Amino acid sequence: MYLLLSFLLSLFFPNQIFAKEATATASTSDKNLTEEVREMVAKRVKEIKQNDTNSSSLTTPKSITGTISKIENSKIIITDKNDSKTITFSEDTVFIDVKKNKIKIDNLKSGQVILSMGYYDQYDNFEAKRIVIITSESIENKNEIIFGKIADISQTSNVLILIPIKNKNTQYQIKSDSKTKIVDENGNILTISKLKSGQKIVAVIQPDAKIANTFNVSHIITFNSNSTSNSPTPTPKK
Amino acid sequence: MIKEYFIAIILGAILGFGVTGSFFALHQNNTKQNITTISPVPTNTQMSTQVSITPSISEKKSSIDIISPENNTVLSTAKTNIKGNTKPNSLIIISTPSQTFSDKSNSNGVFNINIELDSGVNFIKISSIDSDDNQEETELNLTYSTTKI
Repeated sequence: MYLLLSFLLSLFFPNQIFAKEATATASTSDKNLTEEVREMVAKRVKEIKQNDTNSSSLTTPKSITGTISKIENSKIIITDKNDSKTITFSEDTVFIDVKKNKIKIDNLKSGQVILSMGYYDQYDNFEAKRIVIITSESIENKNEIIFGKIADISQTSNVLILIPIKNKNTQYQIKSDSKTKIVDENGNILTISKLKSGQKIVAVIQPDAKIANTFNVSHIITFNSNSTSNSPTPTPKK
Repeated sequence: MIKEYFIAIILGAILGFGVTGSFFALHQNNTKQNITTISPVPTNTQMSTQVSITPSISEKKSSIDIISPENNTVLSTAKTNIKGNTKPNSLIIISTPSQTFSDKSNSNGVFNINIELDSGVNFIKISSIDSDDNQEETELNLTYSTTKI
C-alpha cells in the first residue's frame, strides 16, 4: 500500500520540479555572493577615489562663486543656487574690486557677487586666499546646446528653423552670420549651403537681444546618427 | 468489499494528488516568472571599460562622467584638457562662455578634448549625443587665473 502511494506521489511530483528548485537556490546563492563581492569592491574603489580626491583638494586651488549674504568675524556666507557656503578669510587674504583694484574687507557688502579662490582644509572648510568682486553676468553661460532637425532653411536669408529631438513641440528660429562656424562631426569645415532640411544638427545658440524668439548661432555641427529617421522617405513611383 | 474500498482509495488518491501536483507545478512556474521579471539585467552601455549589471528599473542620470579637471578647480593656464567618459562613439560638445569645442568619444566611451578658457570664471556646458540620438548634459565650473593663489 505504502509502495503504491510512494509510486503515485513520485508520478505527480516529478524530480524535475525539485531539480529546478535546487538549481534556482544555488543560482540565487551565487548571484547574492557575486552582488556582495561587487558591492565590496565598488565600496573600496569609492573610498580610494574619495581619499585621492580629498588629498588633491588640499593642494589644488579651488574656487567658489556666489552672492554675499552675511559677513561676520573672519567668515563670509554666500549663496549660490539656493545653496549656502561659508568662506573663511585671514589677514593674508587679498580683496579685489570689479575694476581690479585692491580693497579692504570693509568694502565688501551683502548682495555683491564674489569669486573666491583658495583651498579646502582637511575639515572641508574653504580658506580664501583671494576674493574678487565680479558681475553676475560673468558667472553666466548663456549658450544653449540644441540637438535637432532642420525643419526649414531660408534660401534668401541666413535663417533656419530647428526642431529639437527632445521636444518636437518647440522650434527655434536660428540666425547665422559670417562668424558662425559650421563643421561636420569630424571637425571638417562646411558652408551653410551644405545644410539641408531634415538634416540633424547641433547648434550652439544664444537669444537675440533685439529680436524676440530669434537666436543667434555661433556653432553648427552636422550629425549623422545610426538611428533610423522617423520621417517617411518618399519613394518615387514607377 | 475490501477490493472496492481499495479501488476507491486509489482513485481518490489519483484525483487528489493530480490536483495538488498540478497546483504546485503551476505555482512554481508563476514564481519563476516573477523572479525573472525583477531580476537585474545586464546593460552594455560601457561594455568595453566595465561590465555593469544594473536593475531594469534603475534611476536615470547623466551618462557623462568628467574625470579631470575636477569641478571648481582654479587653473593657471588658459589651455586645458577635458577628460571624461560617456557612451561609445558619441559626439561631445563643450561650450565655454565664448567658444565651442567638439570631438567624439572613442569606442570605449572615453573622450579627451583640448579647450581654451576665458579669464576668470568659466561656466562650461558639456553635451553628449550618442548614436541613438540621446542627448545628455552636464556642467563644469573652472576658473582661469594667472595670479598665484
